[in-house]
Amino acid sequence: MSFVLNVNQTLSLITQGRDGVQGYLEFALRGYPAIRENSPGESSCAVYVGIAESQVFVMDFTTRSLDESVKACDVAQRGSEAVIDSLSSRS
Amino acid sequence: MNSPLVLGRDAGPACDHVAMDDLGDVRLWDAAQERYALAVTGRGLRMDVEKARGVVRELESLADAVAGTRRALQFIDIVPPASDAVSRNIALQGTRMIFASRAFLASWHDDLVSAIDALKAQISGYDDVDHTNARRA
Repeated sequence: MSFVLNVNQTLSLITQGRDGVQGYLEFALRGYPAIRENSPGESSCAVYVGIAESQVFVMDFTTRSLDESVKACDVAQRGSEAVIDSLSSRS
Repeated sequence: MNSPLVLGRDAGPACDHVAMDDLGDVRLWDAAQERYALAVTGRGLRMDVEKARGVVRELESLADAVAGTRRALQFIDIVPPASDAVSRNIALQGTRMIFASRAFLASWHDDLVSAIDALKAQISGYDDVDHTNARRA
C-alpha cells in the first residue's frame, strides 16, 4: 500500500481525461470528492481524494493474489477513510 | 545428453527459454520404475516442484517491479506551462498518457498475479497427489 500527497494538483485533470482512466469511478468519501482507478482483475486499485482546492492524496493498494478475500479497492478505500479521519481529528 | 525417458533439464535457472524439444521442468518418466507405479500405470507426468516454486518467486518479483513502476507514475504531475487552451491541452494529453501507461501496467500485473495463483494451485495439487501416492506405495 502506498500513500502520496500531491500539492498543486486537482482532480479536474483526471476527470477531464476520464476515458483513459481504467475503471474510472467518481464518488464521495466522507464528503470529499474522490476518484477510483482499478485494474479489471482488481489486483491493484488507487483512490484519489481531493482534500483541498489544489491538494490530492492517492491511496494505492496492490495485492499479489486475486483471492476473493482481498479486494484491492476496498482496502484502498478503507485506507483513504483512515487518512481523512486522521486529518479531521487534527484540524 | 538427455536419456529417452528423461527429456527435461536438471540444472539451470527456472525461467530459461525452453526449446521445442526440451520439456523443461515437466518431463515424462517410466512410472513402472518409480514408486508411483501403484497409482498410475504406464507413463506419468512429473513436475519439479522446487523449480516451479522458483518460478513463482520470480513471477512475484516481476509483479512487484511492475507494481512499483505503476506507483511511480503517480509522482508525475503535468502542470500546464500557461493558461491558454493549447497549454491546458498539453497537460491533459500528458495526463491521459500517464493513466494509459498505468492501465497497461495494471493489466500486466493482473496477468502476472493470475499466473502466480494458477501455478501455486498446480503446485499444491501436485503436492497433494504426490503425498497420496506416497502413502499408497
